[in-house]
Amino acid sequence: MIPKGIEDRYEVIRTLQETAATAVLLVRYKPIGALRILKAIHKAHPDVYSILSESNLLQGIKSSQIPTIFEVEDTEEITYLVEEYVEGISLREYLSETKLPTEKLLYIAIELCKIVETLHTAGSEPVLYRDMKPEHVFMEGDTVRLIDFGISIRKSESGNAKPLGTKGWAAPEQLKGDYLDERCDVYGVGKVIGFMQMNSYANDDFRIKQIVDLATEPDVSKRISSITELKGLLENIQVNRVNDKVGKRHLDKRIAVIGGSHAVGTTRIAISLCRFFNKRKIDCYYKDNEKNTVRKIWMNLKNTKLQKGVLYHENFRGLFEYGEAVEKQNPPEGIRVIDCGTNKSIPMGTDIIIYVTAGAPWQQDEELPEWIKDDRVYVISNFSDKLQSILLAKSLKKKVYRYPIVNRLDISKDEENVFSAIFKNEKDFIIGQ
Amino acid sequence: MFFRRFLRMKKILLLVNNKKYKNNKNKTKKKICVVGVSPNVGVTHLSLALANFLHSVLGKKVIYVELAENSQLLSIVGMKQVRVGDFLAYEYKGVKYILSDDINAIRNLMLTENAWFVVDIANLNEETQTIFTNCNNRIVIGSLSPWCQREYYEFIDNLGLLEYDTSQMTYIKINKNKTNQIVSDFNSHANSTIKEMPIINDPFSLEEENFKDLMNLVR
Repeated sequence: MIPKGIEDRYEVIRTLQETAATAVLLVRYKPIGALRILKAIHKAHPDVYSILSESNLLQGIKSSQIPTIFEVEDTEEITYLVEEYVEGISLREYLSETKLPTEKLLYIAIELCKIVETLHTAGSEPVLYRDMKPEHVFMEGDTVRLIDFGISIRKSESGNAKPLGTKGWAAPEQLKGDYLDERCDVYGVGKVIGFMQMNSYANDDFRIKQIVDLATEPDVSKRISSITELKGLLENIQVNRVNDKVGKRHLDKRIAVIGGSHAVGTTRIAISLCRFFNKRKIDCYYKDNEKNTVRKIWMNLKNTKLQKGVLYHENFRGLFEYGEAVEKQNPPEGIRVIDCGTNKSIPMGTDIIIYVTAGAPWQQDEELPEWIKDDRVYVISNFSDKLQSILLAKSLKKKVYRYPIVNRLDISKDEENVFSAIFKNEKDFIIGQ
Repeated sequence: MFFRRFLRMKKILLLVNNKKYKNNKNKTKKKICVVGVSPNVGVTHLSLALANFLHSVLGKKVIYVELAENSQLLSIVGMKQVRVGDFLAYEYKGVKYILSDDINAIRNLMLTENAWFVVDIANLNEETQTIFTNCNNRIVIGSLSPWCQREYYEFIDNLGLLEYDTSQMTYIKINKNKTNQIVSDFNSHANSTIKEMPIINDPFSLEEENFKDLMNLVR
């Protein structure tokens, strides 16, 4: 299906896709010899509006990562659109040939966020792309580009828009035909990042996995709220990786202590870890995500001091979570040790995880978290003998640190040895004995 | 030898029992009421501070009751309506406020609802005394100024406050510069040690300096 009257300007090179009423052609623009894409649709086709809509939407959006539209024309029977031909290969093809290093994954993900951010902030109202998938992301050398805006809409049109999209890639609310906002594209970008992660060296990276989980949350209200926020989270990881490489010492690290099951000593280990750092003059603050540990310490221990939202007791420093009726305190700078209890949802911004498990048969984990193999996850086996620790290490194929039996409130020498062994390889922590 | 061992064991057992008792006492949900010997001694101010301290610092579920039909608090706390038992209440900064003078209904609520109660008793009389009696931490605020101290004594005597368990009574004076003699006379009369009114700038925005005084009142 070739529109009449284009022969003087365009030479058809190849038909890329064709149905009875639509065609996508690769053409050469004769005056300058440049390759372009010509999309044609019969006027009787119900989706004829989509070509006009695409051209309308992309007008005024200035980005080199989005194809330029050169013309939209009507003939007697056919409407057609001519746009820039994007060279390179799709992300799906790219990943079939290449296993992505973490830096490259982050780069592509951030670039993709930037393109979608351009759409969301374009003109008088956001443009919702709605069709994010690896086939539509093109790699042109190091340049990331996005193609095919056929089902994109303006946000105000989302109430009447058809429930279109690709199953497995489009947000659930989009496929159901619910009201849409920018978060449907956050979902799509999240899915693409997840796809990239599966084909990368960052497969075990819990920080990227956590961002993917939050971006692809089926419940819209729990999802990352904007593409800018998603970009910011990815940039944080990127900056941390740069800092890791140059060995920059920064004390805003977040260490999550997560228990495999109840009563495995998670709180004890988190408190001792906090004491361990403070004893070495590294500012460290304990934060409790699940229980009221700091409040209980304040109420039950003598010689405590509360100052600016921090509870001080010997080498322990705990962040006191006040309610609304207490004047606001600025959080102090320093390492955060976050006691997550048995909650496996990793707190946002976590740099290191200490996973605590125990040896008793009733304390064995039913299922180990998938991020446990990440290099930044350290496993501590508590209340267990040497054999149990060795067996666990063999099954995980990583080092397991056996925690000593403790019977006093303050941190013991044996506990300090465990933490020293864990953090001796971390560049940011200068640990002296 | 045997007798010594027996004494030592008895001492240990007593210590353990005392510790248990102390812990349980702290864990019991309390009903705190605050009354004033005369108007404008800061009953509502202290009650609000206590309620907010219990919720925002100690993390307790707190119901604040003001025994008044037309409360001035409504304009401050009345933004969000919630239901507590049969009452229409208001929630503000985590504390639920019931502004009502229905003594019987409030007494029933205090018996059934699993929460800490802070009751602002604007006027202690025979009717409101049933609520006062139902509380297990009673705070009385008054002045020991020479021209006011008689009023404080009469208040204690007329309402029979000396008959209550002294461990559940706290007396507070609002002015500081009083001679030791006045304070010691009062203490021996009330069989208790009168405390000074804590200085709290804003009961809805507590400062850490306030915590110690408020904790002493809660305990």
